[in-house]
Amino acid sequence: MKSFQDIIFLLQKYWGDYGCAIVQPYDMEVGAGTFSPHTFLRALGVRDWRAAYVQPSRRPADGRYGENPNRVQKHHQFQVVIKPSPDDIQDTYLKSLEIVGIDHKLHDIRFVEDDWESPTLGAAGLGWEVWCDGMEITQFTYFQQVGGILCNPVTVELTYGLERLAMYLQGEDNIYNLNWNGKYGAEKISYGEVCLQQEIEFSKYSFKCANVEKLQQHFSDAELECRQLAEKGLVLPAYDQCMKASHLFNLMDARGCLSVAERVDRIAQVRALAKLCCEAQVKKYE
Amino acid sequence: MNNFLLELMVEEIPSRMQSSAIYEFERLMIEELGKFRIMYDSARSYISPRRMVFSARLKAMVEEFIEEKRGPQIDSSPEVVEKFLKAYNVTIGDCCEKELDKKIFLFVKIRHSARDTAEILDDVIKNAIRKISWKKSMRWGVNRFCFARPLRNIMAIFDDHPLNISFDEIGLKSCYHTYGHRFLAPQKIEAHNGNEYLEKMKNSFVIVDSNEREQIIRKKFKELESKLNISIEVDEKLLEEVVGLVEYPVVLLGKIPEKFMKLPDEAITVPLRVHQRYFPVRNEEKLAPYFVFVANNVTADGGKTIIAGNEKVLAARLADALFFFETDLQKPLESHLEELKKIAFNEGLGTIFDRVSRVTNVCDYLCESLGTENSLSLKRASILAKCDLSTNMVREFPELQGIMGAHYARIQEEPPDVCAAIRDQYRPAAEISNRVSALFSLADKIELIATFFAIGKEPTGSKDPFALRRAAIGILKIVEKFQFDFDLKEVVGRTISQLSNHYPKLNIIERVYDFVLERLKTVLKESGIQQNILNAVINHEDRILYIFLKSKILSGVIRDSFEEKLLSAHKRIKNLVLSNSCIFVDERLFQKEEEIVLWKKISELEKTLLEMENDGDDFGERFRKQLSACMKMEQTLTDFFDNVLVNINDGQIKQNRLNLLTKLSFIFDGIIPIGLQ
Repeated sequence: MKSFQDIIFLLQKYWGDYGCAIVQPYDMEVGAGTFSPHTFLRALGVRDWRAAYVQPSRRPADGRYGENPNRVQKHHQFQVVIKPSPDDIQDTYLKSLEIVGIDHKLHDIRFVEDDWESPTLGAAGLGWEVWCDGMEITQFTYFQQVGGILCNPVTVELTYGLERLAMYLQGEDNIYNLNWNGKYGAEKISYGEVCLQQEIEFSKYSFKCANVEKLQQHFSDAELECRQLAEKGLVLPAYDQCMKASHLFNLMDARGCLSVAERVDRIAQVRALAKLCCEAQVKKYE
Repeated sequence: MNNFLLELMVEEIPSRMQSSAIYEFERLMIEELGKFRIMYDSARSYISPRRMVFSARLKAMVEEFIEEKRGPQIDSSPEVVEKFLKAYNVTIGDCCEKELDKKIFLFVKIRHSARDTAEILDDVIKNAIRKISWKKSMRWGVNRFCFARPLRNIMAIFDDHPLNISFDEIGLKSCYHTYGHRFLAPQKIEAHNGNEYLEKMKNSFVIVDSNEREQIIRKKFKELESKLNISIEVDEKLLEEVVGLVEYPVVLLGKIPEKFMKLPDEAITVPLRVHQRYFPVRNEEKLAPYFVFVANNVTADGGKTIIAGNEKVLAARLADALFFFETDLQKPLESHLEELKKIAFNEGLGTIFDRVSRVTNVCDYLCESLGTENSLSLKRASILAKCDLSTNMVREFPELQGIMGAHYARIQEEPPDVCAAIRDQYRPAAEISNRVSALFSLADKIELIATFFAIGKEPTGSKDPFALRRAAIGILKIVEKFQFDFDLKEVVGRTISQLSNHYPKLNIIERVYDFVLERLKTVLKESGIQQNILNAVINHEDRILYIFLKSKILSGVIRDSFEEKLLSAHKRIKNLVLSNSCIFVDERLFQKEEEIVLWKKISELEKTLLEMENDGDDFGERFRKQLSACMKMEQTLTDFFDNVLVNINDGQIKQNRLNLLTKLSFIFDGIIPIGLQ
């Protein structure tokens, strides 16, 4: 049996040996591994890049108060980014599945078209969702555009859903029963022990308690600051504010305080910030 | 003739693009072969998720040929002539003069010497690859070249020898080999011609021919069906997609736990088909607790692990569905109205609840025009119609909107026509068979178009985010199918009067009407109605139903030349009477027999037409009769024009004759659309 942390160790070792820098999770709330500057900003420009990291990813609207065995508001992604995309990347990826214990001799692994688009990031890519016996376990994307700017060379992004992978490998139906540390009996630490409290409390926070006025205020602050920082060429600090705005938008969305039109406006605002940061980044490395 | 084989190996090409891609690739290859005058036969092409294949037999040599090129006219400026000569590396002495369309041009004959096909194939292949146009394509690595997915290997063999093609855009050189199935036979495979290739690939677990993959799947389906006494629901589009997802189809059967079978059929089949690409199974019409799917791998355990995995994924999805279904059933459908107050519909148009109230009123307006026999059911349907939008089930599976609403309504014992209307609102008119459904769907669509126009969000160019064009066509199809006669302008006016916004409403009514009219023109044109009839009828009528019926009847009528005479007579009358609007006829001023006859006939016609108003025929039938009554005037009119001169000197008699014709003209105008003549 592979514990939750085993899977992380194995993937880190594999991609580390491959030549990726194993970087640490970005220390801010993000909606997905893609948001991390290690992926998003690095996808721009001509410099080569190889990195892999775990990224806890927050999706407030997916909160279920810890009651749904399949869905959580904060999950873990294992993210690999390589630029330029290598010719044998599919095979390299498939080997990583073997490493974590998915034997392709026994399973049905398939690449099913799934084009990725993030309206808030102004980013788009083509690729697949990778299916293992009918379950999506990885998002496989060749970035085409980021912040409205064409990517050249092209970055390939692999995003493993760690919870799904673990549930599959452990044959577990309930996310909270996942074995986190690989021990048994009294020594076992389950996913629930690590994450249940945050699921309950953050669900309450996102759906019922988040202060709507404050969220709006913080959003405006972040927006303003992002613009000012980008102006000064401080790309990473500016981009932090962009990520902040994006997370605040997700909170407002979960809180249900956005009308359809407001929602569209907010998305456009975040996209404009992301674009600003990308342009500043490109300028810096021209 | 020698064997030629080309295989492009690509990372998984999206299924939906495959059939058009291979069709185009074959066409391009043949086009390029033709361009270079390479003789070929037995051209074949195949596609699988990971490869595009073209094979043919080609002549080894392209023989010498002479090509004639047209140059400029002989009197062109010296620079132009010089440029032409230079382009083909010839002198003026090589040229000849020829006349074409009464102008004299320079011509030159270019001799192309014989060449080996092998050396030309390089260009043929590269041109064809570059010219494929994908619906969506991408770049990868450091390349700027675009393809559906990364192109990874080119195997090109002619006459048992590998071709040396260097595809520089992506730094790829062609080679002698390909690879088999991703997992079952990943090793290198060499082949020299189409048949050998197909054979070797088959042994390497790749069925390159998509038709063959489809046949294998169908055959396996049949076997399962007779073995288990079931029938597999084959959605052709899904089958095509699945054929494009596998290189070596393995059909497997999974079980659905019995506890999920109490879900409504669609709540099972939608997750099955849409989310998992599985095929539902029936046992004598009843949904059976099985699903069939197509895997791409042969495993030592006979697919056991694969089946177990797929069963588990499906069970998780259905467990969600069952939980949602049971939660939804705990409260009556109409209780969701409260929730609808919280769901914004669109900026300026309030919530979904606001929309429900508006549509309910539109239903009332329609009942006023079209009869109230269904008004109770219609009212109930309009209250319940959108309630399922806030149920858990529809939030999770948006494809089930309407369908779940109808199920919930049935379970709480609403009348059948109410349930049908809830379901049918999202269906095309062709699938609607009951009147309540038709009326509700009509009201729903009118409200949608009218209110979006009222807030200035009408479609522009190719942008139609709220699918208003489709809604308009829906309105037309319902009106035609159910013969609903109502004043669209009036209903639109009353619909938008419910909005509190201050917009120039009169203009909106016209715009909505014109918008629907535009669609109507398209629909009628597509059904073969001539433009002149269409224009005439639209100028003459403003009821959609009448426009439909009149155009169709007239288009049938005018195909007969006999009736054309009536139309030309009508035109002649109109040219004579011009602006005269007096219809007082003094019988004492008649001088000719034909005047008296015409007058008599006109009176008869008037009487006949008046009687028709009250004989209870539907509009179309009455119009047909009116037309034929008018047609009976044709001979009388011919006689009149042959023997009676209208423009005579005697002003009184002339005016009397004009009045006589004006009277008839007015009668005709009421029936025959102006402009048709």
